[in-house]
Amino acid sequence: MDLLILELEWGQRNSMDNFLIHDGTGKQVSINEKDFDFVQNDAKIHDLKLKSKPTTYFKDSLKRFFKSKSSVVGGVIVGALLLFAFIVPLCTPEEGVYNTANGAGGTPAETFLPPKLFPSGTGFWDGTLKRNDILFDNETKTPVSYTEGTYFDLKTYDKIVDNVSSQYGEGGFVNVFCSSHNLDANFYSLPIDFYTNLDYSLEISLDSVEKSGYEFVGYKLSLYDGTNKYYLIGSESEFSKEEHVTINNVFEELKAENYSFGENLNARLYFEVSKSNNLIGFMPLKSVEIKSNSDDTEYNNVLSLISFKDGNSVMLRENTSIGYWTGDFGKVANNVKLTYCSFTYDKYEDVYGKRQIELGSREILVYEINGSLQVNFATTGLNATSDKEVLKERFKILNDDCPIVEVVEQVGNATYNSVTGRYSNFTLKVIVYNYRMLGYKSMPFFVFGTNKTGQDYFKLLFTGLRFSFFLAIGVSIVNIAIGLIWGSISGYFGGWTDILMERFCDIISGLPLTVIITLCILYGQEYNWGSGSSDVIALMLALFMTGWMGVAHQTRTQFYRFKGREYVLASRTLGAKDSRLIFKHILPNAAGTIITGSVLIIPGVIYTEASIAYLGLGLKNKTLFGVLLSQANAYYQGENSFLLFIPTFIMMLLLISFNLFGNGLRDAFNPQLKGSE
Amino acid sequence: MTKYVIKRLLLALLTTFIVLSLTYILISCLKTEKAFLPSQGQIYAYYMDQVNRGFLVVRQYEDPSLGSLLDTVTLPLNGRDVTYYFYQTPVMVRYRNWLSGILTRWDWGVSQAFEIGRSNVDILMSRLPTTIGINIISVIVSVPIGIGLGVICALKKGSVFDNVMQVVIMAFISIPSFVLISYLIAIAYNTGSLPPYWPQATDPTSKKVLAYVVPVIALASGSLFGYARFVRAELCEVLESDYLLLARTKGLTKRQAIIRHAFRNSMVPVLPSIVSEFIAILGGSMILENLYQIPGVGQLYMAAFNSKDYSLLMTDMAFYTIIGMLSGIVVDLSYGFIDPRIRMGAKK
Repeated sequence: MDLLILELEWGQRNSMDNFLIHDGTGKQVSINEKDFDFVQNDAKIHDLKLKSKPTTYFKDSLKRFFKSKSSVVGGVIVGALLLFAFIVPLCTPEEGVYNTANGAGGTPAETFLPPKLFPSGTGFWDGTLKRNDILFDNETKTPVSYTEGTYFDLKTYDKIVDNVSSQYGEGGFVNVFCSSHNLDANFYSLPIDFYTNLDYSLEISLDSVEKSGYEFVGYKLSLYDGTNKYYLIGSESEFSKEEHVTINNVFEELKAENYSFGENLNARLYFEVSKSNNLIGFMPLKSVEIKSNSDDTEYNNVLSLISFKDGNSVMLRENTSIGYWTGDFGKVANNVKLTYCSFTYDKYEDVYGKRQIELGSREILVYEINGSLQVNFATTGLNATSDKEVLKERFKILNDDCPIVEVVEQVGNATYNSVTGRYSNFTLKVIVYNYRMLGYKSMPFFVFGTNKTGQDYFKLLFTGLRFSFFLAIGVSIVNIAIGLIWGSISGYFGGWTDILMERFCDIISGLPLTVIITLCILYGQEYNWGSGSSDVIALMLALFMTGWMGVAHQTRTQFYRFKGREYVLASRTLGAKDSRLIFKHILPNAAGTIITGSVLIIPGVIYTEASIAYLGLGLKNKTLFGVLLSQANAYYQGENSFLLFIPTFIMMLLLISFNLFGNGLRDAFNPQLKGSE
Repeated sequence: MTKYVIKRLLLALLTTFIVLSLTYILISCLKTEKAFLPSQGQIYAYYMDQVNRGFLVVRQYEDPSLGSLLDTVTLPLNGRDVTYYFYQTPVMVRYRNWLSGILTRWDWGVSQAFEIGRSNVDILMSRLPTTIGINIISVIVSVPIGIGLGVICALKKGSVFDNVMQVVIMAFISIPSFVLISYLIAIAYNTGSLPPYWPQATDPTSKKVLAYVVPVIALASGSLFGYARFVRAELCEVLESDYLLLARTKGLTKRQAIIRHAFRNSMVPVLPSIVSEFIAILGGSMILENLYQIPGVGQLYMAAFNSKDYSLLMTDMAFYTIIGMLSGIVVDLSYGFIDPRIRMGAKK
């Protein structure tokens, strides 16, 4: 309080016993006698009840915890994952069969289905895959080896390709090239008969293409009779790249030169491609068309079979066909036009969508019995038919239990079996929903896709996470229990007990965890603990051996902190035993900090199990989250890489949230430690 | 001080001795696999070497008193086949011989299955350069960057950069190493510019150099962000301390105060962990070496485990145990050397 200078001016006394005084600043204040009364004179003073609500240590800590946003978010994510881990395996029904082999009619297996959450076509998480550079079949107007309906957003484009001959391509030329600098190349047809009394016309066209590294020097065209005689028709020196050649002229010339052959000559059309000295000699042969003026259509047909219009088609001919062309050296189709396409492929539609199959009368019986299909031959007769109206009358689909959408054709007449009262001996061509064939009620979708054994990855991951959580919680409970007891004894008694116990911890912690786990797993495998799950038991044992030491150390520190406090002393003076002091007084005070500090054991266990599986020490084929994670590391690239990225992302999310949550809890329950490791 | 150092070293030696003895005895109790060599002669030579070392006993007849038979070798001798019966000596005898081998000849035994007959130390040493190479580079990369990052964050505490870095640091510390390695390998596979696994000896030098990128990033990022967080926390604390305020009031510029007073003092708790990292260089990362197929010490551990080569596995375990022990001691002792206020072994 500032010094108050009272300047009583008795002369200016007011009527009501008021005095005017000047305070330190010179202000006039009026005071009277009442101001000098005792406030609490004769009053009884009691403790007043606190107006604010009482709080506990726990509530206070929680208040602190909720102030840290990131910790709350971490806690919520951890909680959500926990909830998922416990609910998902229960709620996802075990429906359908895990069809892991490609079925009849090219049914793709249920393996490696991409993740799908939204309807296909939405472009995100919709179970579709982008397909690029797929060959397009111009005849059926579908991408090669894809069926109608399993794709959309189709875009086609043409490509000119070298060294390819494909049944889906067209155009191009045969590139007949020499294999070396000193050898000519050749290219010839199968032998056919040439008649000297016929007129032949031969059109050859060469592509004007220039290829780097190749040089067109020239060629000779002959008829080769298979012995040793070449009857020269002409050569590049005589005719240009595109020329109409008449074979009859050859015959005339040959006759004039006294070649001896009868009415006909059995010979091949024989191209000889000249070598090039510096580069590779080649001939870009685009088409060969041979015609005759014969009346014999069969003979003309043979000639047209020999002819070819483009390089691609002639290269595709089988060596059993009449039109087969071959050569001793290199021959490939070049400049072939292929149509490619890119599209969005709906794998779910491919696996589960509509398809046409054949069902026998026995297979239909199943649906007849469960009441989803009504078979009625009474009005329409028994005969085989493909009449839609008749088929509709005969086979009525009553509900969705029947996979059949539409009956296309009945093959074979039905016969009535008077003993069973049923019709048999026929087969039906039907369009079915494949998912119903597989036993699903509706078109299935897998949020995280399916793995290589066709299992629902969503369910699998969370089942693994649940097991991991169980394991981790079990390990935590045991470790906290051992750690608390060990740390209490060590911290409470101190002295030699403490030193010996600490040395024991030193020795165990001197062993790297990997070594302990290795030893446990080796022993587990040798003595086959727990028949088949020896690795899990070995892992638990290894974690029991080492995990408690952190808790024990913390407990020991807490005991050193609390054992000298007054309340302990007070209790001891009242005759409390050691055990009472430890378990009733000190431990409850220390437990909050210790237990919140142990939250991080759970992600630690998951991390350890993943490490072991990653290293290949053990735990193979166990549905543990870490193990699933380690199995995914084969999918580094390609469209199956979701199998790697989904579990690693969950693992990351789990660990980051656990760290945030754990640190937040620790900071809230033990504010002194804030910011430290 | 000296007394404390000696005490610590002796204690560590004792702990190592007990730990290794326990490990050896435990591992010796496991069933030993038969030697797998192409000819009977080679098997005989290997077993006789083991007999000389005192791990096996040889008889020319079956002797049930020696426990279960390990293996038999039939060799022609003077025109007639002689069968040798090999038995294992008792565990404690083997332990004694193993110990005396190490103490007198620095002989850690020979490989049982991985490279039969080759000295374990030899195999380990041949693997060491690769591991050390990768780890040294990663330490050289991670320490300066980590400390620099930590310093910048601390000086710009509360800024956008600091907040972003806090999140990044938190994320990277939490991400398990194998996830990071998997992602890096996936990147290597998908971009094609980096080798996705350790190259062969015959590959070109450029590929061998590039092959260091993934392991170094994987190893460095873990410790880098650890340092950044550690340095930031320490420096923040020091920057708020009274003696720094005093330094400023005495007329030092902010720069002088930070470099001469704050930074030096904040390094006290950080340096020991850097020192220990240099020892951990030897150990390397088992997961990284297995995922990236690096022929280092960590991969050797798994190779020994998978081939059930307990002798080699034991040596590798001993190697890891000793490294762990050493780095523990170095950290503890370096506190005392770096910070004179900490008096080692002083009573509380």
